[in-house]
Amino acid sequence: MSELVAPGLPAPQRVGRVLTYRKAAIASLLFPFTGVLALHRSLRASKLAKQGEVEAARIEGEKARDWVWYSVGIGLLVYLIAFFVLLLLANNAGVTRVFMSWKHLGNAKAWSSMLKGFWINVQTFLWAEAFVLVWALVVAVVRMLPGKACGPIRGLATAYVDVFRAFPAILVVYMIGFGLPKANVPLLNDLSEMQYSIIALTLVYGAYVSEVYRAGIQSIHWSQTAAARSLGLSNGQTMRFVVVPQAVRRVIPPLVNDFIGLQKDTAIIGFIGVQDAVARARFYNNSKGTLAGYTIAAILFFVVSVPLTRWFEWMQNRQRSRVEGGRH
Amino acid sequence: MALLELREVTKAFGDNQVLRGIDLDVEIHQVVTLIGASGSGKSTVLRCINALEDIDGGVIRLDGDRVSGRGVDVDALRREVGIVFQSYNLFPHMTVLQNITLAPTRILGVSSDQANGQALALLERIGLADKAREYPDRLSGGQQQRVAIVRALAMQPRLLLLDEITSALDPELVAEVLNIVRDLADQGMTMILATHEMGFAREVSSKVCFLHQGVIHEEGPPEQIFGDPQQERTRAFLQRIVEAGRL
Amino acid sequence: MKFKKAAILLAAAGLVVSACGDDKKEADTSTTKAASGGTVDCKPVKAGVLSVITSLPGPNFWGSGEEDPDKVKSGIEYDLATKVAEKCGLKMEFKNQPFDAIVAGQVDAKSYDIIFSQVTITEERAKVVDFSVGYFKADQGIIVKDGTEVKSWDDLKKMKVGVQASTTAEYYLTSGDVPGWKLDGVKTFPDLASAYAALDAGTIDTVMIDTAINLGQTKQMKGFSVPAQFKTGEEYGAIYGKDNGKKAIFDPILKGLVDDGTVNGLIAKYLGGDPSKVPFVDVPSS
Repeated sequence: MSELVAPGLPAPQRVGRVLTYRKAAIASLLFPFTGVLALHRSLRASKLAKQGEVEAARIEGEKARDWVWYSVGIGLLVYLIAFFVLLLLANNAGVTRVFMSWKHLGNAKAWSSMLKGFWINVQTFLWAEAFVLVWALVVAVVRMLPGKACGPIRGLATAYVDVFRAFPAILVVYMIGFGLPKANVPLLNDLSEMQYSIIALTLVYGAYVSEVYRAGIQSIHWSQTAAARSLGLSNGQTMRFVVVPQAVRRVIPPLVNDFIGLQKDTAIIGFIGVQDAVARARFYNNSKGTLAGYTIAAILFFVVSVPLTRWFEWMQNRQRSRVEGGRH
Repeated sequence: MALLELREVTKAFGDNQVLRGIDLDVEIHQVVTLIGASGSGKSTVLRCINALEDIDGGVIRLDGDRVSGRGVDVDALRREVGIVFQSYNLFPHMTVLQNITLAPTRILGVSSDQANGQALALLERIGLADKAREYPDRLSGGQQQRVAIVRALAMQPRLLLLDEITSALDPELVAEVLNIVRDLADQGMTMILATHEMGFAREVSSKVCFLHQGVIHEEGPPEQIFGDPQQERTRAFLQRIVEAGRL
Repeated sequence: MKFKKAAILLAAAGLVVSACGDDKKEADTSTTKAASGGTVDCKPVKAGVLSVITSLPGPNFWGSGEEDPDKVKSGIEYDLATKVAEKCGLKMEFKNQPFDAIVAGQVDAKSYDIIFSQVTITEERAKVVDFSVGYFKADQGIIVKDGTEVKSWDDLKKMKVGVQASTTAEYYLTSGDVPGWKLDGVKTFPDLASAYAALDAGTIDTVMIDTAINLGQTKQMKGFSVPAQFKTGEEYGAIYGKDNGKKAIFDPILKGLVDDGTVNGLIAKYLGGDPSKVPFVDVPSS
């Protein structure tokens, strides 16, 4: 029995562990401005330890460690900013001139043209996302239908997912934008380019998102399904009331991820003739001999994407603190 | 004719032959307890009765009607046979009240007002009415299990299966759950229990079945099984239980 | 639940937003003022309007420095199309389509009368579309920093050349199908603006594209000039749907506008230089 009980560390070692000499030294080398503080504290800590003031030494050591982390964070930020400033100034401010000259960024007409185009991107991704959320769930559920009899339809769904994940989105947009009208399918052969784009993006993103849903559904422990079915709920009811609600909550981060990706991918619809923000940026650039149009388009995408991400995360945190009780 | 009949039921999981021919009758209002070592098949028997598992051979009948094998409407079966699990399996994204009313409203078509009323009445009886709008993980294990029992009862089943419902609970929470089972037994609920709580089994059962290696090795009234077991294996099993201080 | 609400809100927003003004054909359209006194019955696909298609951007051919493609009201082909429309007594309306689709003959012939999009007439393309008479000489010129000497093909070989995708220059220089023209290390850019930006940044030494277009660019890029061009004998043509009879109607009009100097006048107006004055440099025969 006594071999099972470990001897433990001798007391002086336990104090020494908080002195973090080395980390502090590195910090002070790489990030001189704040790293010095870390080093200073760790030296004080060791001095206190030598004087036998264990408690004070531990506290200093922990402060030293904190400062190591602060140094890394602040230091990296400063280096990044410095890098960008250098980048912008290099080559006689070449990057600035081409991408960011005020002549173009300050041109209100440029912004108004780009905003008109961006409106199309926004509409496209709102529609596409709404369809994707529903369509992908259908595909995911179909892929998980139980029983031999459902084998063929499961196979169809799997084939759909494989096919549409295989092609770059832009090729799908092309094929749908030009192929569908030719196929002369009633209802589908006289839509606008934007509507074709929405269909194409829904098909492509539906494939990816259905995998996300499927992973979420599979992550719900079978005991939940067992409990629901045991109450007499049918497979469909179990999915609808018990499994899918839990699954969707779980996969919100990857769903948001794909949503953001979809927003960006609306930029490809310019290739079938839609004058969206990026197409208009190209027009502006060719008109004025610059590349600043792309910068404006980029800013527009950024301004929409970042607040949306933050909002989703905020909502999810609220959700979690409600459902998971005292854990937060 | 018994309410529930199992005849020569066999079940294997891959190479593991868990049930090797179970014969069991459960009369209405009876409380049947299954005891036996882990892996002896207690849970499997219960899960075969409510069709969570398909049986390989034999037949199960409810009220003389075959409920095992192909072509059986399992959803209808499960409306009549309730089950409570060892790990409660409450739905974490729904409140206690919603957990209880989900099945009655969606399956029996009960209006949500009526379902809520019935659920609250049931919760009152077990002293958890004030938790009606809480989410499951704000409740202790014992409370969750009691809610799970109420959830199963809300469907007014004819037969209730209880699969080691106290095994996952802290000892001080076991009593409150057993009290409910005792009440249900007094009210005439037909139940099949799989349990390690021998003292409780002795108190509340009409019949005790000792499962060993996939068959019912011995069955009889609790006085016989616990007091004067006929079979060697039964004696050996109970001996180990006594040594562990659980009887 | 909150997430569901958010998703529904977003979908509803999209619905409301899209319900207002989502016209059938979303590709942009613009219209000129109605002209009177047309002399030819042009049988337009849409009454009262000459339906024209182009592929934006087409700097100096469609637009002259506007920010907004909807506000294009000038340019060589814009004015040319307008004049054609005038002769028909029609307004001019244009829509945008991708260049790839145009040269592959994939634009629905029932949706337009004529296409003007700086398209070079080639045999391959003529298999899938009908071309008009040529209206613009498409010999290939190069734009370089002032002072760079290009007197022979060897001089060109020493330079890093950039071209735009899907153009004659790209085809001639990279395909190897045209004897003597093949160059190594040619960089292809998705559009002209990127190519010119690369030139400005110094990552390439020259851009090869139709001489007139390069000439027009020297107005914008100070310190650059067009010292040489290479004869291809090719021309721009307008495009009609295959065998749909439009050629018989519009070719005479177009030819008239070329012969009476209208087109040259437009070139001078928008590109501010005479492509025919740029010296020709010989291309080796193999």
